[in-house]
Amino acid sequence: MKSDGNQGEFQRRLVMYLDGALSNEESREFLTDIKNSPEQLAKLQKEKSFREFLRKKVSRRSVSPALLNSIKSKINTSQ
Amino acid sequence: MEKDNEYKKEEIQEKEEAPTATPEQLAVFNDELLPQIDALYNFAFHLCYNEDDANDLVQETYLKAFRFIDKYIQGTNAKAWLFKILKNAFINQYRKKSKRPKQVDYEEIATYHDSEDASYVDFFDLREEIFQGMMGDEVTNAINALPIDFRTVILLCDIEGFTYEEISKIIDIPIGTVRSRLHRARNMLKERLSEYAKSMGYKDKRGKK
Repeated sequence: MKSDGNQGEFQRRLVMYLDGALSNEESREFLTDIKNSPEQLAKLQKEKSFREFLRKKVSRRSVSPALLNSIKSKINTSQ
Repeated sequence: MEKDNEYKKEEIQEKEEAPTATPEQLAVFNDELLPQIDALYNFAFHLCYNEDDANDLVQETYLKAFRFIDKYIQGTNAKAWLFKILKNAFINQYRKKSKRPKQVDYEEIATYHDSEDASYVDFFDLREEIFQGMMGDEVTNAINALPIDFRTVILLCDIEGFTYEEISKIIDIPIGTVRSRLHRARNMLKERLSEYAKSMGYKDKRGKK
């Protein structure tokens, strides 16, 4: 079905746009193509929020100073 | 054409003797490679689940990187090069323990790739309080519950910000497979987070199609 095809194409471009896999020109074209579709703009915002949510919520850890010192010490010992 | 570091697995195989690095190579190690240590540790921690194994993996990665410092081209993608070494070290660790990571059914992957457009999983409204209140550990646990191959692409793309091409080189799979794995991994993650939200009393207001 044509509408399914269009929806699939939108979905493909949406994911590539958010993953930074479109060129600047392709990104501009994508945003121009969806600017008059509230439904597609809402989907873009929702998917964008999901990515931001992951980055924000996934716990980031710092290495212990002991590990850093251990690596530096082994490198220096080999010299 | 932009210079690229050697990504071939055979280039980063075991080589036990540590070379004597030049002062320039030592400077590169300290200025370009060591600053990536937190990102590497986070990746290692999500692969291993525990701090001791993650520490061992990061240390092994840096010692191996130092042994192969002559393969690294200054000013190129240090982070991707180190992630590649860490990923190979992780696989080798598993082999030594005779405990392979859970493998993905590639037939299933191909099927998913073919039906990628149709299988998109929509997600709840993230402005809802339940999602804002989710703790990092809960999201981290949902990621850690994914099979290793799916977990890896989510970590590399959505958490570390690598491009499809970089991920393809780091884990030795075609770009098309990177995309299909990412698609599947994100869907699985959304489903897990949605299940968690429901268990916390969230009501799905979207209605069923």
